[in-house]
Amino acid sequence: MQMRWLLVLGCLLITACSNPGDETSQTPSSTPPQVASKTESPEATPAPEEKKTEPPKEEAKPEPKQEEAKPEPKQEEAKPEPKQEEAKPEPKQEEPKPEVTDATPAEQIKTIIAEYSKAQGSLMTEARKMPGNEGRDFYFANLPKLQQKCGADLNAVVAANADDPANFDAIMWITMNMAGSDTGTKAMDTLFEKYIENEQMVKLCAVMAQGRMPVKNPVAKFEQLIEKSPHDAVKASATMALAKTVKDETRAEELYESLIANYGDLRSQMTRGKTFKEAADNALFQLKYLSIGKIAPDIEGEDLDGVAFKLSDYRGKVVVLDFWGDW
Amino acid sequence: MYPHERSLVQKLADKPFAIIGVNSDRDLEKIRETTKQKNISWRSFWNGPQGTGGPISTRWGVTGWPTIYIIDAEGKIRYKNARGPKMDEALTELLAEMGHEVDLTKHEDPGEAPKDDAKPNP
Repeated sequence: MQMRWLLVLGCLLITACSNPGDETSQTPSSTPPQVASKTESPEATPAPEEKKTEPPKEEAKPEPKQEEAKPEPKQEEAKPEPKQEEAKPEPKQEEPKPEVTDATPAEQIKTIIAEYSKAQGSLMTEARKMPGNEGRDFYFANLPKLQQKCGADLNAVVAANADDPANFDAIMWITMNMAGSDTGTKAMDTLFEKYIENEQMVKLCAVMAQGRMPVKNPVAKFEQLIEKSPHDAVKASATMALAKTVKDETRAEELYESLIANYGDLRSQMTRGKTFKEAADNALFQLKYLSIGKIAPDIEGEDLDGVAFKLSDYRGKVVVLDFWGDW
Repeated sequence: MYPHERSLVQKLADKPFAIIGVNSDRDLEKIRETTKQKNISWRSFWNGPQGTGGPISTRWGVTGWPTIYIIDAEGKIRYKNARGPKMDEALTELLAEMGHEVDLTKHEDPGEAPKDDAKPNP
């Protein structure tokens, strides 16, 4: 098992920096994107809600969660990931310089996030050398420190450059990576107070819709976005996220129907490039026919030897239906 | 997955239980070979040459692999993506509903099929 979480984490890192709209990354047959950490703004990829990997044991860590929905590589297929160059500890001669810099706030924010990614990569490299679950424990014990440092650095830049538009990226990073902590909660409050009209709030909807970010009352957040955002993409994404979040099935159905009626042709990161109609139709099918408690739709097909059979042939038995692939 | 599934197939051989796969590999020949090598004895639908874009997974809205549904004897979906110990708990519960007591707390993997050239030492 020990390889598995590392692979998942590896995927997280990769996802964090891969194109969020890249649907092919959802399928296991696609080529994994290359080395993760040095690219620009990490964006979380929305994930199929049904995908759940084991959460870290001790505490909920928002950051890995938001991306953990990648198809997991099979254990059997475990392969080492490409090593990250940055992971090698380089002898540093220079002491960290004081913050006097010519870099714009946007550049500073980018650098801080890139440094975090690099440190996270190193931490993972180190963790992977450890036997059994030690590496996993080590990783999750140390990750919050990196997040806290990054969050503090970002907040310092934000504080020093009030109202700089780039602050949004910093606050968004903190919100998504440090949810559940005081720092994260404060950042989320700031987002909703100052940036609720920002079009990039789509990103937050996509991540929150997975339901694994420890946020109090996500329903209220989505409702606020629907009400206050001037952007259709945000309104539609928040509606979709709300539909996925509400417990009431009838309400969810209404929300999906309203998406189809109002934003049917629109595409966004939330729907991974599909139209909202396609995404909502899919969600409605799942809700109506594939929810817990529903009779499973029958499958008629052929087995690997070409012999026709049906799922309903197995009525009367407990069935584990496993969508699998050997890759 | 395979070791756990192989173990379930073995432990629940005499119970009303089945693993049904929906295989999304594109290359049918290759996956046939794999199932032999890895001792994947349970039956699978083939999702077709489009692989993960095939008709069954599309209809079921599957976007991540593996995705697992656990279905009871009446054909009702009871669990989604319950894996490992959670799958064991789910199966124990559903079989108990049918009056079958099972103990799935320990798993021994019956292992992959021996390769042809793996001969015992003289």
